[in-house]
Amino acid sequence: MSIEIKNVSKYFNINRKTYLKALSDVSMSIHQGEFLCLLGPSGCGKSTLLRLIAGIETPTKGEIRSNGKVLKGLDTSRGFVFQEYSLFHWRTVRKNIQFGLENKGISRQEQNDITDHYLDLVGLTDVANAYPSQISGGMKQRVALARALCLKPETLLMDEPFGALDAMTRLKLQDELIRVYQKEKITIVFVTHDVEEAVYLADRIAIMGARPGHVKQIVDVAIERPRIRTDQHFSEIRSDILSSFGLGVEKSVTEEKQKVSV
Amino acid sequence: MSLFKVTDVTLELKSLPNLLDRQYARYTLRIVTILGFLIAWDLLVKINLMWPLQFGNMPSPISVLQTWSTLLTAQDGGRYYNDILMSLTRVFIGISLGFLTAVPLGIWIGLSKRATDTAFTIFEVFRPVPLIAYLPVAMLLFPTIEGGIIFITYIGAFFPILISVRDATLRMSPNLINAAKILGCKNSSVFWKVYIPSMAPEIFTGLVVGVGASWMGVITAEIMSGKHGIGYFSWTSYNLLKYESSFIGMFTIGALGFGSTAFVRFIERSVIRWKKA
Repeated sequence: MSIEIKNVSKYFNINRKTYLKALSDVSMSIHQGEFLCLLGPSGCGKSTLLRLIAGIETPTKGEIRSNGKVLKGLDTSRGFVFQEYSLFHWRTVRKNIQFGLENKGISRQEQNDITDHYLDLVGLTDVANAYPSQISGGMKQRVALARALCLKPETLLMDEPFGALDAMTRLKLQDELIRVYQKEKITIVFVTHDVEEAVYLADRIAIMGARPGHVKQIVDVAIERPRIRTDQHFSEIRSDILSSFGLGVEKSVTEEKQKVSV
Repeated sequence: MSLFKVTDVTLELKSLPNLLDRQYARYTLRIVTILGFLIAWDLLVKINLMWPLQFGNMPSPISVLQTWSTLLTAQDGGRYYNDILMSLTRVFIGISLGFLTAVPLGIWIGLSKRATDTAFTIFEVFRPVPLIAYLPVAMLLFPTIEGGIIFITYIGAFFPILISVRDATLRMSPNLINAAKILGCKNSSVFWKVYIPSMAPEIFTGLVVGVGASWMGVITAEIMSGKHGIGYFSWTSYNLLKYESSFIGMFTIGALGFGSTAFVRFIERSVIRWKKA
């Protein structure tokens, strides 16, 4: 499924007279099967753009097409993973994953088989009968991932899914996500403000700017997976992106001086 | 649930019996307190105290307990049991009707501004009215006294449930609803599959408050206009100068209120097995 975003703007009413321009005239396309990161500081509208693609919000201007058809509302072809997990706290891990399958009207046996498969895929078979309140944040996000994946969405939309996790869990889940992505062969749109995370995960990175939110530039990350964070090419791309935000922390002192003299 | 909580892992084993002793000491103290209360009551009646309070008019706890045991073991079936059953039935009907109407209305008001401006406006006019003040309306509105009594019981249950469900709906995370819809949950099933289970704890809280108010309502209505029921039993006993029975009625009402709250809490515990995150 390729997604076309055409001249999309989104304004939010703050009160009767004032609007907040969350996104202004965004145009870009999302290719089938790619891993796209939306990267930017807070307030750049990256989450808004993702919610527009999901159909949770509707654009004020412009349109979003999927395979040529204008998107309307929510549907199961675009899965969504929220930052704050949004698990059904009254359901066990297993029942959370099964939720979407129950809505599909397939047999109980089939539901169980698919659920078992995805429990295994995200490594949660041991805690299948635990409630969300009893498991860690990393596990919760795995449940959310499995819950979205088991419906076989063409596109998976992820809104800063690892933002609330500790650094180590985050690195681990990034690897797991890549493994799942390569196995399931789906399109992923991943929102983050973490430059390294974006470079590690994405095929392409859409760099966004704020006030109003817009796409500044799209960067290709042509590095073979598995990627190594200390690799020369990796560092270069990260530095370039950081300096595009005015944060040249990776540059050496001499480079900085050269820049100043120019 | 263990009898005591051990929070300090370094706690030495030999201090455990100590804790246990302290727990027993506390239970003993409670029993002694109740016994002390009964003895004080008995003494005040025996010395026929008439000032500042007229304890001399009251039945002694011993005669109350004696009358109670004859009532409980009465061979003729006993009005006492019938009256209890009557009140229980009224409360049960009132609560059930309250539950069935207040939950959907609460969700609707929580979700829709239109409903807040229409239905909720009317409810807010009636909500501050004390249950007893509904009595004239209830008597006028219903062709039978029974209908009026159940109406008062219903009102008692309705408002607490309505308010807690409305508040729970307002607090509901929109992303939970979005998550459900993205997972293919239709608008019509969101109610059963997301709203109801998600706010079950708040519904039960409303229910517990509602049960209390409902008992208040049924006793009031029975005293004012009933022919049966434990409230009626208590009040007629007073009028017939059977003060022991009047006291028994009072304590029975307390026990029924306590019991029905405990029952709701029991159902809550067996329904809600998760801990809200």
